[in-house]
Amino acid sequence: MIGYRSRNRRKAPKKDSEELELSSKTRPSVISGNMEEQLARIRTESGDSPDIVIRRLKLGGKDNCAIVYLNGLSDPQMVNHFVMESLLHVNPDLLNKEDPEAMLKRIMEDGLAMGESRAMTEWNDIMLAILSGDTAILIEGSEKAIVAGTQGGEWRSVTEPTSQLVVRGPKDSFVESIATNISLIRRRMKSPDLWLETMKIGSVTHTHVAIMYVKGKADPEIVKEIKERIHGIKIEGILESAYIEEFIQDKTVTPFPTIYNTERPDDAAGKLLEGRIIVLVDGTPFVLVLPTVFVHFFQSPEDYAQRFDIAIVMRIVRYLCFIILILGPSVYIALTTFHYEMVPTLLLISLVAQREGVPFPAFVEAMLMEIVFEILREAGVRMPRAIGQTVSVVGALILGQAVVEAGLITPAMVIVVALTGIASFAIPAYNLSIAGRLIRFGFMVLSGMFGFYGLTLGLIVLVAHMNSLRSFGEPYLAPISPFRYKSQKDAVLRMPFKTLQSATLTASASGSGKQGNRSSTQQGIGAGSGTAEQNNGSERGDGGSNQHAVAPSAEGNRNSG
Amino acid sequence: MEKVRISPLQFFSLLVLFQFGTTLVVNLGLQAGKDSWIAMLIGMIMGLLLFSMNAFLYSLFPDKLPTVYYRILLGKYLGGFVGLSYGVFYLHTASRDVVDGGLLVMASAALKETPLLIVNLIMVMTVAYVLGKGIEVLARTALIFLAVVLIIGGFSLLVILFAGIVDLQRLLPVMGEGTGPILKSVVEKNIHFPFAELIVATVLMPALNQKKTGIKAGYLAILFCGVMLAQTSAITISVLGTNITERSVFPLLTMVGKANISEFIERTEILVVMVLIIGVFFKISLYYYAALMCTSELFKIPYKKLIYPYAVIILGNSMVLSRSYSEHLMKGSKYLYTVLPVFTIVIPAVLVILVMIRILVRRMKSKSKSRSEPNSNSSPAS
Repeated sequence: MIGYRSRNRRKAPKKDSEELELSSKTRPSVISGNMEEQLARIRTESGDSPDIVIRRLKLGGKDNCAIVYLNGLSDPQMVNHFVMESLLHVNPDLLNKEDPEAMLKRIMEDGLAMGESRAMTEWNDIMLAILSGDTAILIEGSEKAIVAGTQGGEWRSVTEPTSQLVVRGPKDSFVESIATNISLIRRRMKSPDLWLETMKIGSVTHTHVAIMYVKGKADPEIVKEIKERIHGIKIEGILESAYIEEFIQDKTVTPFPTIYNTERPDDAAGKLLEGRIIVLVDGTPFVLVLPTVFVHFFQSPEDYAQRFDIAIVMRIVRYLCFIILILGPSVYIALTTFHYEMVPTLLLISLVAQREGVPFPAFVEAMLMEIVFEILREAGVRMPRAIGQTVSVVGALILGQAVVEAGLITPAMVIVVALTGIASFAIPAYNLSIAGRLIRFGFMVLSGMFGFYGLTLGLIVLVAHMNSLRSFGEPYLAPISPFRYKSQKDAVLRMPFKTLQSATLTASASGSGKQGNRSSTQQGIGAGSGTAEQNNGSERGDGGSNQHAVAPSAEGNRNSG
Repeated sequence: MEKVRISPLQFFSLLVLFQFGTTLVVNLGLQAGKDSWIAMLIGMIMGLLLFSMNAFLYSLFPDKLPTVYYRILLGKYLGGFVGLSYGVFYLHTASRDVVDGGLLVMASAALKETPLLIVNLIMVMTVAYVLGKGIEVLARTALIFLAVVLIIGGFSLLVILFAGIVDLQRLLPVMGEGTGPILKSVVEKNIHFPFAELIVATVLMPALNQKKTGIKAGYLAILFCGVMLAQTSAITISVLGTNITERSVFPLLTMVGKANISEFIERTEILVVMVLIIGVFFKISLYYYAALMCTSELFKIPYKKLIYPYAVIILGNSMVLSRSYSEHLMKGSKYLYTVLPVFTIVIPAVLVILVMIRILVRRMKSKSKSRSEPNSNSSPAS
């Protein structure tokens, strides 16, 4: 749905944007002193849109001022109380009516009770500010306009996360407003080292995209690389962080997600502390985390809220689920068609008894059931809530029970399919579980043709493929292969916090020779707060080890190029 | 050459899986009878010596492929010819291992109706795919599969021990027939298979990121493998006895298949077949890679361009090598002590002697030239 809508949207405004570009070429890009001309231009360029409000005011008795704002996107309280009221109450005696520039300056300095206001001259900037919900104040004769920050409007309020649930842990979730999202993270990390950079992407949507990282922990090379890749994006609209994800990921054909996303502020803050970089996109609650490694998809914020031994077991269960998800049906096929001697005799007898009368070979049976299951799941996800019950009844009773009673599918196969289905839900990251579901079919074909031989070769190809992936220079299977002893504390396992403190999680054990260079470049970049950084370094104990080695990131570039 | 770096741990896992490759399963006859485990250990010591020759050459020419130092030591034409013949040798051995794996899989993994061509084809395609990703990916994959193999090995060992089928009496008497058969077995088989085959390590060594630790990892891999293989052969004999072991096509599979715990865990040999497939995969990969590197260096062709042509050659060669498994084994054991030693023992030994002579000559020259400069006995590489 989203994709469909967005395509439509992208198509429609294309002409407009071209026209806008044309018109901005023919018309001056700076505003002129003639207020009426400017107001008319705003009207024509926005197609006389009724939600653009133009309000004329008299400053010092003359009809010489107008404020422009977008109804609905600007906060009406702020516009009324702070812009209008303060303008109306400016002491007319203080205003120098002959010099509009001085008047404008006066209003900025004395008149506006606003935190955020700035003088602008560029036409496009002013237009964009109005369209973002700011209020523009135009004064007759002045070649500047005041833009007062009145952005507001309706947003969904902060609610519980819907895609990453925990039993114990913070219950807030990111929302669609990027400002709220940034504040949710800032509230968790009160450190000046938490740096934020914003940019606008999308030639039509001008979507705010922000990257956040902890200076001194994040690798400046990767920060630079991310900024370059984001700036390189040429697209008309960004409606979800997935758009950015697809543009900036390392270019390889793979079902695996190489960028992690989360809608939990605590998760994002945790990743920031690990020295990773997060990308926030306006209009979506899903935040990207870079660079990502495979083990991230098996970590849940819950792990840090429970005792570490429990957390380790929970994580191992998730890995087990992933293995069941991709190998479950294929191992069953291999066992029942090629290697039945491995099945204990009694079990084999019962399996064979079930298979009696079933017209399909195990492979076809498994394929049919898995496809049916995929259909059910897709229907269940996209269906209006009110008819959700129907799907479960049809799925459970008609497809589950009737298919067995009709003698089309063996009960054992239903069990296997149900198990893989449940296993796919146990993986915390949805995008990884989709990848697993896709790979599962490949393994089913391999084991249907070659049994364990095909399965083993398939596994080799899978592991080799995952080994060849990189996420911003970081090998995808990072702390496991290449093996980094120091990073094992919070990868597959989760050691107690006491031990976690000493090691930053992205630490690369290799490339110790390069660390000297790296820390010096970092200090060069962050020259302003050198002492703070040193303090940080000594606190952490190993200031060098939390930077990525230079080599992997360089290779990552090569891959992407 | 692209800049690839292999860590010592990855080098270790590559070599271990390489040696496990076919050796664990293939039955080349029991010349040493009950004492084949002793023969294996002696073979390992010889293997260490052979590896030290290669390591010595590597320490003189770090970052250089063997084909480069063959030309330095033997001259442009002879060295080039030797390099080329190494390439052919690696290619041939790779296709021999493809057949090894294919026949074995067909016999053990219940693929009796699948044509050998198809079985070999998907193996070669897998290898080609992984090599296309580069040797670094192969090395990192090896690390993960080493863990898998060790887990399966440990599990099988436990199952066998708990099944109570191990009878150490069958190993007695130790050296009942004297040292003769053992030595014969060592010379004909155990040196070459698998330890001398580690000549392929010379092609990998230039990619090591830590030279000294890498060499140590190589020695460790041989030690580890020797002990594991000796232990496996001892257990096999103590479970099956020499008679069955000698006649069985895959003694290890037969042995593991005998284990049975309360009629639930039984016939776990499919796991061993998995180990075998993994091992054969890495064996083929390393030979394949070695062949690629030799020719790509000699003819200055990027090796990724050669991968698929070579896949066709290996596949074609594997189809015409032999008509049956018995023929393949018979040829294999002859190949072991006729062709293989030329490449694994004779040529490296000749090279080491040449290097020694060159060093001696340089030293004498430098001494006679200037006694005031005693430190100028540099390596011949300079």
